[in-house]
Amino acid sequence: MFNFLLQGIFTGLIFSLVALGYTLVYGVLRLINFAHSEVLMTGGFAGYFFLHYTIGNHQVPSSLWATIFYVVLGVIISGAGGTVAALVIERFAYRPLRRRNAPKLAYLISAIGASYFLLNLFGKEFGRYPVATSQPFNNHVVVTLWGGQITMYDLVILVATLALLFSLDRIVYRSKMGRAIRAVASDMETASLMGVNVNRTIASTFALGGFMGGAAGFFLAINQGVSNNMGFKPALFAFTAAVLGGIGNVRGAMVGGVILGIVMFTPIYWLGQPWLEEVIAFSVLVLILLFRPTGILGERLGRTA
Amino acid sequence: MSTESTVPKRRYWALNGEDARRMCTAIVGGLVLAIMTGPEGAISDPTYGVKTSLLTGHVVGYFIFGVVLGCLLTYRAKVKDGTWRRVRTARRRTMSERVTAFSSIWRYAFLAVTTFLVALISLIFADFSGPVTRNKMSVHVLEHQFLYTRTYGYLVLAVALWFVVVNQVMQLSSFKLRSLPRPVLGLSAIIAILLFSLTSDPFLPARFSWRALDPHASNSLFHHWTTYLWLILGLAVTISWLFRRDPIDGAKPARRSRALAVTPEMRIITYVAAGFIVFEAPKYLSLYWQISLYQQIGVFCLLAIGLNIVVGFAGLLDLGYVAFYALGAYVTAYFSGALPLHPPFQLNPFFIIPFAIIIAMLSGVLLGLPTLRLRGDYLAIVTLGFGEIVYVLANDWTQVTYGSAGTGAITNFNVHLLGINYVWNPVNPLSYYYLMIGILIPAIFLFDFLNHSKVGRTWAAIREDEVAAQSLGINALKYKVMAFAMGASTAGVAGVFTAVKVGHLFPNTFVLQLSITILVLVIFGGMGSIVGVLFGAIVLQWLPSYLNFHSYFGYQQADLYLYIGALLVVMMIFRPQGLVPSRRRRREILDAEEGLGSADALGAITQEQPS
Amino acid sequence: MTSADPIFEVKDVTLRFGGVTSLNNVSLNQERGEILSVIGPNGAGKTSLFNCLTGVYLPQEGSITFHPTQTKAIKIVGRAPHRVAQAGVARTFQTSRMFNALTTFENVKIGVEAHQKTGPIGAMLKLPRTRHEEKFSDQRSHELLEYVNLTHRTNTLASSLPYGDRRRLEIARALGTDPKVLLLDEPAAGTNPSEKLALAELISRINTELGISILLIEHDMKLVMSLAQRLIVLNFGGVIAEGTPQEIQENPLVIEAYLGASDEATQ
Repeated sequence: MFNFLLQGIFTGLIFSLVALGYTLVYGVLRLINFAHSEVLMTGGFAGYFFLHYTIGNHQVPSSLWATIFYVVLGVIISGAGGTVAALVIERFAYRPLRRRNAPKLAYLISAIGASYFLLNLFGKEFGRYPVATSQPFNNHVVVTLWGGQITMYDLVILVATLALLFSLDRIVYRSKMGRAIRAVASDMETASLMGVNVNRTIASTFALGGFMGGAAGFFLAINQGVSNNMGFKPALFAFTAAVLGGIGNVRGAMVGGVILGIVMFTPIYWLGQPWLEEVIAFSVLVLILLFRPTGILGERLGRTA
Repeated sequence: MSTESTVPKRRYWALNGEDARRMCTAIVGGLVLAIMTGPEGAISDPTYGVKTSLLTGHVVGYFIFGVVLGCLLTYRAKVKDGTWRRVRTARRRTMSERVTAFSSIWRYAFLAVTTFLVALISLIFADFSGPVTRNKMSVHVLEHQFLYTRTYGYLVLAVALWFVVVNQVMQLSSFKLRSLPRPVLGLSAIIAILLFSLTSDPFLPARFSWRALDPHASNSLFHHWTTYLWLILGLAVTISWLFRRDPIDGAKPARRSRALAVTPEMRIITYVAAGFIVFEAPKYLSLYWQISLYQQIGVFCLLAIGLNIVVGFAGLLDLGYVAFYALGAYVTAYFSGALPLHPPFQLNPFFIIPFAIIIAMLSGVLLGLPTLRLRGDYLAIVTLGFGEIVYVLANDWTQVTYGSAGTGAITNFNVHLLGINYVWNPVNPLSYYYLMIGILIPAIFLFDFLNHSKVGRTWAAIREDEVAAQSLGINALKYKVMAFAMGASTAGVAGVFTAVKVGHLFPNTFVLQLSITILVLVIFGGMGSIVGVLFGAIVLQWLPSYLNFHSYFGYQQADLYLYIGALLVVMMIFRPQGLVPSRRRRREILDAEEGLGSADALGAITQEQPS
Repeated sequence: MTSADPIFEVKDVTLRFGGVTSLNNVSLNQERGEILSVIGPNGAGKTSLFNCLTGVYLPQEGSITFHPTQTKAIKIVGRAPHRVAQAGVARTFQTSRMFNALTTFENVKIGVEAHQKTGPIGAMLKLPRTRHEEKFSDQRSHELLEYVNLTHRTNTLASSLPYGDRRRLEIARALGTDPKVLLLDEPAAGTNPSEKLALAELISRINTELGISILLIEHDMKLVMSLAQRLIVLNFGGVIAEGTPQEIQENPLVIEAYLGASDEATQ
């Protein structure tokens, strides 16, 4: 049982990374970025190619320093991949509509269109079946706690996501860019009057969320391999996590991911059917909407600081 | 024109960075299209697909396409903002003024020469559209064209058309096309279309014989779908021309004066023509197209007009529409005893329809109420999740659905009433088609009535300004949930039809991507316009099969969603109102872009809570 | 103050947005059939008061009762806006909010239809009741357009109406809901003097002929003084004065409140 709990926590951390992408974009544009799952996938593919061309079929590196090297570089490269994907999406599916002041429905439709386009473009170019990724470290069990096993993979996720979440939190609440993002989130017009470059700020929001999503894609790629639809389900869960934490709220997304992970995986211990996790996640989403639509920590990116 | 005098001199070639950007975008678009139509890659050689697409001759056509597109876009933009409008000192004479200035002999000489040219063009056209096996374009071959019946068809059409045009332009006689009684006009247009569609069929034998029209003959004319394409397109144009109404005063002024007013006889003619096509044409199709007419087009028309209620009428976004479709289908399976769970009583599929409606509607209400209470845009992702859940349940919950192994046999439609005993048989796909028509046509009319009733106006009000609508006592939530549930129940009915035809259900029929397909049918045609949505459904459901059948343009069935995704983005950027937009919806979108009101119902609808 | 037959009874309403108090302990009564005007400088909380009265805002404290003396007194606080409107409170908006893509006639018709019973089934099948209601709403909408003198604009798109006509259309649309009280939020803003005159005439006609109580926010003092039977002056979210136009004009507090915003008062 503890094993499931641990699995929930570690998967939940990945959800948190992805949920940040949703929450940042929602906070700024008040839109659900339907193409975020493809950011995840692009990050995964970037990670795959990095590992494929560096490690390839060679022996899995065993030294700690090699692990750190591959993981750090992998996260950066995947994050960059995710950033590029997010920027491309922003540039082609959002900005032309923003320039025309299009209704919200149009954004949602063009985002879902961009999502399907990227999904199938990757499928066309790289095949439509999952491919295993070269492992950057030996995934052995490091610690056993009350029957729950913590593997190397779990440790890497824990350290890397915490580092990423911490730095994102610093960026959003301490840096100049973060201040611009929060300003645009709370009032786009006033912010632009105050001299904030709204277009650039929105792009940087997408880039930040994209980096986090890409990094999450890297971890998913190591664990499950890459395929063109690897992003869909995690993204759906991550959205649930974002709503759970209060959409638009950065810290909420972090907390929401972990809570959702726990809530999703622990019951599987009793129920035994792994496909039920999706049903649970969905029920959680509907229940939050019913009883606490603003999430655990409340909404509003601009006002939580 | 009067404003031009006040504007200082304009530079004719005022190209700027914006134009360069536009051109680059168009060229990149062309290159992306080249990649889209290029070969499949594989992860073992990740650059193969892009390399082959971009570094071989394949790319040239798409590059040129991109450049042409860029030029067109630039032209459109420049004309729109007035940069490229020529400053005219004197009014240019129109073509007709120049021609009518000829003296009478020259007039007839002009007529003779141009008629000859037109005939020649029609010959070349006949040559090109003829059977593929012959050499094209040589004088020798053109001569031989007269051995073919098809040539005469083109000749008659071209010359007739030319005389009509010349008569209008040169005023050879006092006869005016518009003074013709409208039924005659409509009828002759339809005859012309019919003639054209028959003639343009490449399967037309060298010597025309009535046998070519016999649907049972092996090389029958009507085996080929292009005939119908032309028929449908021509009729669509004719109908839209006949039914064009006056713009409401104050709206954008029409460029031309209106062609015709809708008169009762006009309506009757179009209905008769449309009815003829809908009921008669399918009989002449090959079995392949008869099947897809039901399974690909009919069912999807029903799904599309259902989703249109949600997206077009109510301005909401439903990305899990296929879930309700699946629900309808599995309800059918349940009441047919095809699931592990046995029903209390087995039902004839006709009696399952009400159950499917009620169950889909209930699930729509259950899903819509908590979601719509909060924000419209949450509905999109909640339905996305719901679509996935329904798929997962259908696929994995084997105790209830048999999972991916597929359900047992589903009872076919059958009638045993008053001595009539008829069981629908898959061998004859048309029997299903007519049944589908029997439900589709009433549905079209009912939804059209709905749109033009109090309910439709209320939806329009909510889309436009929810706060104002509420201040009039309109319960926005109720109307949104109503639209959502009505869309869902339509999908439920479509599910029954699919289940019965397919016989055994497999979860893969209801993948989530199908929702996006249905969405694109609605968006492409024009959300909120039933005619548009039907147009979108027919064209977009037919086109992939057609392209796949002939493997044109390097189209592969696996890439369908690639094109659909791209189409959605392109439509949203360039023509969000769709190709055949509803007038109300188009105005709303344009208004919203100017900052007047909104064009969807996705805003917050709860009380603005001071926090 | 107590009144014999009030239509609105507002008691100690307080509304805060975050740290900003928009309305502070506002209490007022409106008599049935009365034209009551709420005036005050910009940001005094007039529109917030309207939003509370129509259920759009939820005040943190206080109660608002519609028809307080009748047996079926209606508590407005906590009621959804559409249910407030159904009870007989109609309003117009400061920046006019038309359904721009619809015609003038359709705009009014939506107002009339909002209270009809036709449901989707009836609408699809054109049942007898639907036809009957449709006929009624057509007729009623024409009457209302005639009442506000917009017959010549029947088929004009609302987005292309001139400003003054928009105001009248908004009033017609509100009248379509058969209200007992009409809340007008700066109906004369942006209209020219002759339109203003026609508007004043229309408002007093609605009051006397149709017997509808009117609550009016307006900056144009001339219009207010000629129309209103009683005035309430808000400043910084609180009521600073109340009385007949005469009394208000002589009230030193009001003069002081307006001195800072003199250009508005003399507008």
